[in-house]
Amino acid sequence: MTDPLVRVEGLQLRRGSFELNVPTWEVTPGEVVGVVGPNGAGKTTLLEAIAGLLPLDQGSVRVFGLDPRAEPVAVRQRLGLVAIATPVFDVRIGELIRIVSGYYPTWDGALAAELADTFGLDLRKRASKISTGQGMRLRLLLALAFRPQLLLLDEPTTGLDLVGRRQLMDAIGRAVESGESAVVLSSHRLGDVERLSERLLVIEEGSVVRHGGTDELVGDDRTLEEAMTSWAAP
Amino acid sequence: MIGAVGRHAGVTAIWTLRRTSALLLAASPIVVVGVMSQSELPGAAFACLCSLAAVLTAAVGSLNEPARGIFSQPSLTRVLPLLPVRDDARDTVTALTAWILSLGVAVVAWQVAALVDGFAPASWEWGWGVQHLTVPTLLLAAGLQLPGWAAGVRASSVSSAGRYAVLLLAAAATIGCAGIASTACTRTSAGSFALASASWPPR
Repeated sequence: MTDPLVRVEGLQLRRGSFELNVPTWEVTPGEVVGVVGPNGAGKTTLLEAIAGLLPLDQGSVRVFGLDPRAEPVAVRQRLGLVAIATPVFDVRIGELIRIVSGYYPTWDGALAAELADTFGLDLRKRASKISTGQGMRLRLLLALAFRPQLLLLDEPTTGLDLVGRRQLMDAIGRAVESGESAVVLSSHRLGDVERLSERLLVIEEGSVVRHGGTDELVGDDRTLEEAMTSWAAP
Repeated sequence: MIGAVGRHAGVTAIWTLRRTSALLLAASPIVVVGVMSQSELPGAAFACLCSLAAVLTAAVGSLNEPARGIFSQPSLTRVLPLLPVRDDARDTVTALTAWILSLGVAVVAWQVAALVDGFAPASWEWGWGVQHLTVPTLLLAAGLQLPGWAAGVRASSVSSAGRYAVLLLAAAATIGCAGIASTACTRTSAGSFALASASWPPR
């Protein structure tokens, strides 16, 4: 049995009046897991908890078998997070890539150059001076170029056009093709989530309401969007 | 692999160098403290100089570029990519290092001023130095941490109005800290001017 890359047990996390509860949940190597739910359901909170950005009130999160808050260096060397709401360092893109590359022993300079070229990033521009779509591509580049074992994507299609979304799909596919890495994808673009994810975690108002295989949950005769609509119906 | 290790070492060296230069910049107001505590300048002028130095440091911090030193570092936990560094430890070490360095520079400046002033080494009283420099230096060092905090907030996704409010608050707090430091220094130094029979600069 393969060790899970992420193991959540009895997670309880309060932020003001909001409370997220995830009983038991795992992410294993080689899979893409979709996290879906309405606005404010707790998707971003869950991803940030996995990344070790938020302290838990109860329960545990283990990433690569480690506590991401107690051992951030070991976890972050193998974990990539992409979220448009989180800023990047505001320097020229070329300089940013050069600086960041020094922090990861696994940094793949050739892959970074290839992604910069594919994404059409102007290395002379400052990170704060690029469009939302280009900002998302930059975040993807920074998260992919060190070949992370776990990739957390929070609304990764924000600002991306059709070409950008196709590039994102390709990137996700390449990230898991070795079978050693996994992707956790949170998005409101349910078509993309359904197409990419083998498993789903459905959250509403901070609680897990469904989880399991995408085919099993959605079925053959409807889309994820239709399934979500039917689940939300009283 | 060798290339990656070399790159890592190179980047670490550059960052260390830049942080050191930023620390020296941070320590510069303390040089002013050290030198001015030997002078007979009025407290107001002293406070102005301290405030100016602190505000200049805040301006450097507001540039918000990681390569420009510690004061321009937003909190690494809230900026992408999530760099594999231990943020809290770095902040603590940085703050502690800044304080120790600042204190060291202040003591050296005080002694150099005393030397130029014609003090004999025998008249140096370390207790005097600790008593008169620790409190103001600590307060100044605390004030100098604020720009870093402000830069961190500036980089986060708060509204423009919020950013300006935080920067204004940080600037006011920095000036306040410098003011308190100068007042503390001036008051505690009041009795000590008699010790410094010669004034700075030497007549």
